[in-house]
Amino acid sequence: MISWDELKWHLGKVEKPSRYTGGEINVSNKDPLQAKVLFALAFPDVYEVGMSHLGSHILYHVINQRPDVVCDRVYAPWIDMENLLRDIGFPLFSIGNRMSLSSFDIVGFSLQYELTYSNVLSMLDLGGIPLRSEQRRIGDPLVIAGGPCAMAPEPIAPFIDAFALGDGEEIVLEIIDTYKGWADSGKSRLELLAALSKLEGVYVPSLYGMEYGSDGTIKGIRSSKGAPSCVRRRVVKSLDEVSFPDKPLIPLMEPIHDRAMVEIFRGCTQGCRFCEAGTIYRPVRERSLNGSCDLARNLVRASGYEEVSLVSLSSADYSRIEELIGRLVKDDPCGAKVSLPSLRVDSFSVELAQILSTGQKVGLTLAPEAGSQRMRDAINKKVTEKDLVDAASYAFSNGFSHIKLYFMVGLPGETDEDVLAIADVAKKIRQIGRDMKVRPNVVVSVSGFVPKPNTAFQWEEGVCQEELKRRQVLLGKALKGPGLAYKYHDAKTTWLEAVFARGDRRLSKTLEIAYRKGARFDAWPSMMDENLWMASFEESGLDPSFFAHREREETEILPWDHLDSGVDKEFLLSERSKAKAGITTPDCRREGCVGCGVCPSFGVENKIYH
Amino acid sequence: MGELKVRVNYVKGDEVRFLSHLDLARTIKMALRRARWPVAVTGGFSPKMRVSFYSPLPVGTAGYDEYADVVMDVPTDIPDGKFPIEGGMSSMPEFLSQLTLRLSETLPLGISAKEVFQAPKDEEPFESRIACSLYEAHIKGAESKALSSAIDDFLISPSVSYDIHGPKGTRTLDLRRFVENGHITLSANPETGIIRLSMKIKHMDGRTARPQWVIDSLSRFGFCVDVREIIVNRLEIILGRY
Repeated sequence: MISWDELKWHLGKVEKPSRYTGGEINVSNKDPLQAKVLFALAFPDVYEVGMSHLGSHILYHVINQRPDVVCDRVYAPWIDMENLLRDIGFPLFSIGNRMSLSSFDIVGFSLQYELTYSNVLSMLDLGGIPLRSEQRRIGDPLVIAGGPCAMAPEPIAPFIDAFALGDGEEIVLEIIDTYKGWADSGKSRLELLAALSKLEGVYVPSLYGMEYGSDGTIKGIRSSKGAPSCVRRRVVKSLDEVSFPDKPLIPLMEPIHDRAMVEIFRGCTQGCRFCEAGTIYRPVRERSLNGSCDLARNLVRASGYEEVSLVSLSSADYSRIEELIGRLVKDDPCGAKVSLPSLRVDSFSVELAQILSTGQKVGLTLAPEAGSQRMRDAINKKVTEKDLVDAASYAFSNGFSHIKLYFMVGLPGETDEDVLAIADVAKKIRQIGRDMKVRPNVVVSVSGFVPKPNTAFQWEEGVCQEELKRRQVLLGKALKGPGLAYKYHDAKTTWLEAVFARGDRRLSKTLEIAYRKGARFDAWPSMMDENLWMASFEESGLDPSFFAHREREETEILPWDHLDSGVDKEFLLSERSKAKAGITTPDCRREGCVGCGVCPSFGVENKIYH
Repeated sequence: MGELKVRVNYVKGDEVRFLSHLDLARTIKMALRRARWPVAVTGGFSPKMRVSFYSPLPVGTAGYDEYADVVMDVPTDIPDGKFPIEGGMSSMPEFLSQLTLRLSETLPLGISAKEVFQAPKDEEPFESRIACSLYEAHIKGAESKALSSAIDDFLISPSVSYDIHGPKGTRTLDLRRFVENGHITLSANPETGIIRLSMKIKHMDGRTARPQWVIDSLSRFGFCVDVREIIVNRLEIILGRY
């Protein structure tokens, strides 16, 4: 353990030192010396980002409920802290007990975003853990990872001993049990990995070999040591039956999302064709109305937060959203303002606008995703121009003046007309505000489309950086004027994300080279060094365009084909064809089964509380 | 009808010395909400708790005598001077002791309430009542002779100008004006090799100086130390008369 009396002499040298001092409200104070298993939840980004991640809070809570396990947290140190640690010879340490990462039994990374991969390597290295799974020996921690990126993890696979696919609440405890059983057995590390691979939802990449053809595509994926040929993700059947933290960890340093969060449902069946989350979290599992209300109240009381956010992939789709907000805001006020993250345009009703506006007005965020009807049909965003006009009218007439709109550019089949249609939508919304005598402030936030694994667009060609920049500029020119603001994502980070999102295992070499050259925090545009990455691709002999821009054959073996989201490939292919034809697919919550395959795969159904 | 203002004398301890002033204020306000203090809020579109924090400390400095004022949302015109608390009405001392108890239960490790009392009515603004702050700085691995002679030179200088670089540019301060004569003292612990330096720094017209600046300025008198590697505590806030 690193003593505070030693550490405090050094922290004055780093920016935001309270990133490293912990001391949160509601932190677990179990004694690590009494623990049978020491578990470090590792988040490969800075503290204030990690502390905003609900999934980590849930797992921290679930793991610490076990008396035999002590779960602590560790975050990526910013560059100045990394340099300091190296200078003074301290290892990367956990926030709660200040224990070196290498002293934990299990280190579990949360992989939310491909551009945090270089930080995973820096955390392992600084923590004194050999980078590659094959280099680890008895005494080194078991390094596991979960989160959305675990559903297509090949570029980072050689650095991780085992991936946990799908919902983490149950599987993480099974992994701990398996570890505990192995730790006393005197068996080899390989035997631990083989035992883990028998758990449903655990993917042990070292037990799978990849064969490549002369054209660079995968020709075969073979499992060994009795590991299943295909690993299916885990699904929690009911949110009401798994534990949720009602005494949340509250950082003393302001996190990015400084509010209480209630997960009101998991999964989304809207079926947007670009959205990986829309596949890998199916089916929809709503938390009950009473359960959601009770949690919101308990969270506000235990935290002192002034805002509670009702989170999910598309919160306005909660079957009784108006009733839920009405209860928390009007009938029996919970003592905090209630907010919803980005909303689907078609589910933003006049009732919702009215209920939300009775509390304090937070800005409103809508996500039409594409400007033209043609494009919205292609991506299956079943939103019409009328929905947009109505939503804006409801919002403006209920006191909102600030509306943020999310869009993407670079979508498959997109033309300049489609891009410019984004500006038309923004201007139309501004005009509605002006006509209603409010001073509208319309913020258009545009990200570059990245074809993601496990989506209908996983075979599509991605647009190159230059073309993406051209479309961004084109839109920027059309979006000038009072009451309009335009924000867009950095094209070079979009490019790197596109490389790694659909990458295969060979990219691990590039990743390691880039890490050695100094790549860190690639998701931060100011930190991402394109030249460094280009040099790393060259040194590893790989062409980034092969991964980022190439259209895949429908028969090609994809690097995540051995990981099963439960959604059939045939369904994704039919969605791809329908995208090309501009045909939409309904939401199975409302119009019956669309045959994606998830429910029969897992023996579950959408859980909706009508 | 006046308003009830409660003054909290609190500690920003060693464990939270690296919290910024804004984060400290956020943490204390959240603790007040968890403690269910009936805090008054500002009116308007975006109500804020009426809490004022005085003489902010920089990141890295702990304070053992800090002050904040909290305006309470309680009626103050009750004839027998009773205040509503959970479970009934109580006298002012009971009311304050219950507030103290509840706040102590909700503050994080490192922050504690030393005393909660009713702020004097009709006082001049509290910030302008602060006359001096008494600090101690711990310096590791330094030569106490060099430091001692640098302090002597500092104190006999008529002025010591010092540049402060901030986001809005650079401003120059005469540090000497802020340090009371004869109020830098040092003691060395030969076992730990840590020198302890005490100094009393004045507050003038709402402005003051940081001990780190004073120590940094000693470089021109032959004592050099990286001020990011020293530990500074404010031991006391000394109030003037009002």
